[in-house]
Formats: sequence, structure tokens, C-alpha cells
Amino acid sequence: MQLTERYEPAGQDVVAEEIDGEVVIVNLRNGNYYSLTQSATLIWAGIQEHASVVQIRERIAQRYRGETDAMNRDMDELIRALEGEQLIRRLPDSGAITPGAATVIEAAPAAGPVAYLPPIFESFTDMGDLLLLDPVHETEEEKGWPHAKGNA
Amino acid sequence: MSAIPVEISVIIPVHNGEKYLAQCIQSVLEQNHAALEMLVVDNASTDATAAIARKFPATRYFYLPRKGFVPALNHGVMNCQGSFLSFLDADDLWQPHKLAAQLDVFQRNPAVDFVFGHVEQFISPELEEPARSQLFIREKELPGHIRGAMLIRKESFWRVGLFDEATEYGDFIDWYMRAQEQGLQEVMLPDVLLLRRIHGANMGYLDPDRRIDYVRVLKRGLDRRRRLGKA
Repeated sequence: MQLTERYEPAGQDVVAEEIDGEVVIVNLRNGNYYSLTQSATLIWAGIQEHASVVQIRERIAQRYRGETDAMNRDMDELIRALEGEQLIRRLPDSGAITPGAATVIEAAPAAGPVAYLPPIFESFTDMGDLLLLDPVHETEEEKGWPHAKGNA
Repeated sequence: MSAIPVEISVIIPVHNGEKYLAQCIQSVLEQNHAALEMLVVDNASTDATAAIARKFPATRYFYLPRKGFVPALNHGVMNCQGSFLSFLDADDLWQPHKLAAQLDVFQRNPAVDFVFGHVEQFISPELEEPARSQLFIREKELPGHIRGAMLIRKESFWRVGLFDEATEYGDFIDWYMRAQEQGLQEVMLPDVLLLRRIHGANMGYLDPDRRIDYVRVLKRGLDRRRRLGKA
């Protein structure tokens, strides 16, 4: 994975919120919903802010005490899984870190790093019919949705 | 007071529904069910909703000052008399055989708690541009896990309880998750029983906040499942 790659949530059909340390995501395109916990919530927050892979790795290293290779691998795997579920897409101008593109550099937590908690990513398909019945308003963004065939 | 006990209650919450309410009520009357009551719960409409509802002597009409959609639903539930409950949005339509098909399931299987059918979504035919091209239907027909396609025994409904007034758009998702937690027995009929109108006249339901409501409702459902050890 390129260190300068950046991602973002994949459009208006992907809705997420962090509640009590868990990120719950709904994908209105396919009716699935997902849970992200442990270090996955920090990775998701970075993606929402368009941080680069290297920047998110830094945040993980600041928050957690663990073996760097393992933490990086886990993060790469999570990003692939999120892409596979069409929850995130790569930003097209990846390849250069543009100044100011990622906003907040999170300060190291006051309590110091904690023992590493690998990302947990669960998916659920039991509410598909109900979620797919959300009425759809076609927006300019949806019209321009790039199909990620090349990344499959 | 009818001499025949009411078998089916049809609860129709409505806010400013003059455009489609008559068609909606007509589709209920076309069920040709002798022991049915319709409760039109008018949520502070300022258009001709009340006048239209009153044109149909078969309706029981309630007026609520604007408190929201879910309170109106619950008001209907609290005031209904039928041994089965059903619901219909004021802009949607039932197929003529909807109730008969669902009652048939209950009669043949006493263990069933609720019966659904498929829903077909359609763009309201009178719409013109630009409203028309701003709407699209991702899935034309799908299993109708939606209030308007449901018929439920009264006792089974009360095992789950009222719709949650803390929700706005995710109220049925929340209720359905709770129904599953109660172990309600479901049958999903393959026929289309509900026609769901997609229209631009009332874009309130397309408020982006509705999507966050789904997330919150699902989070609560996940937490309950974990507490109950069913995660």
C-alpha cells in the first residue's frame, strides 16, 4: 500500500457515526451495516478526514503500543476490506501529500499509548430489505459515482 | 357501535396528505373486508386532509396537533379495536387481495405472529420535470419489510410494543429488530401486496438526517443483542 494514498467514505450512501467507541456504518447501496471497534475506529476517523496512510499509521503508533509491522498489516487489511465492501474509495489525487489536506494531527493521548487493540470489522446483512427501502434521491454525486472496477 | 367485532384495524397516519389520501383509503375499501376499521390519524394537517377523510364514512378520524409521525402512529395503535393491526402510509396503496392473502396465512397457521408481502415502488405518475428525474428507484420490487406491508396479531404487536418516539425515520427498523428479539414468527408472502409511491411533493423524508437515524437505531439494536447474548 502506498503511504501517500488517501481514502474517503464512498459517497452519500455510506452513513456512519461513532457512538460509545463504536463506529456503526450503513451502506444504503446494498443494505448492509457494519461495526468497527478497537483500533478500527481510529482508522475510520483518519479516512473521514482524508488523512494519508502514513498519517493514519502515525496516529495508530501514537495511540497504541505494539509491533509496528503487525499494526501496519492490520490497517492495510482493514482498508482493503472497507474497499471491498464499497464503504471507502481511494481519492484520485493520491500520490502526493498536499499541505493542509489532512487536518488535525492528533496530539498523543495524555495517558500515553495503550496496548494494541487490533481493528475489529463486522458486517451484518439481516436488515437489508429494510435499509434498501430508504427512498433515494439521485444527486449529482451519485450520477458521478465512479465504479471501482479497476480495484476489484 | 358495530355488532360485528372489528377484526382488522388499519392505521393511516397523515400530514398534509390531500394529494393521495383518497386513493389510499379507496385501496383499503377495495379489500372488501366486512369487519374492518380505518383510523386516519391527522397530524396537524393544514390542507384538505380532514375534509377528504371525512368523505369516507368508514373512517375514524383523529386530529393531533403536530407532534410527529411516530406519535401519530402510536395514537392509532392506542385507539384501535381490531384483533389484527395493519398500517398504511397516506400516499401508498394496497393491492386488492392484500388482507385476504394475509388472513389466509393466519387461518392456516396459528403460530404465525406477523405476515408481510412484497412491495413495488413506483414514481407517482403525475410528477413532472424536474421533480421526476430527481427520483429514482433502486429496487423496483423487493420483500416488503415495511410497515405498510404487514399484518400482525394484536397480542404479537404488544409483545414488541409501541413504535419508539425517540426515532424518526428508523422507527420500523427499530421495531422490527425488537420483534426479532421477541422471537416473533414471520411469513413473507411472495406476491406484491403494497404499492409504495415515490414522489417529490413531500421531500421531508429525504432529509439527510434520516440516514443518521438508521445508524443510531442499528447501534441500539446491536447493543441489545450483545446484552441478550445473541450477538
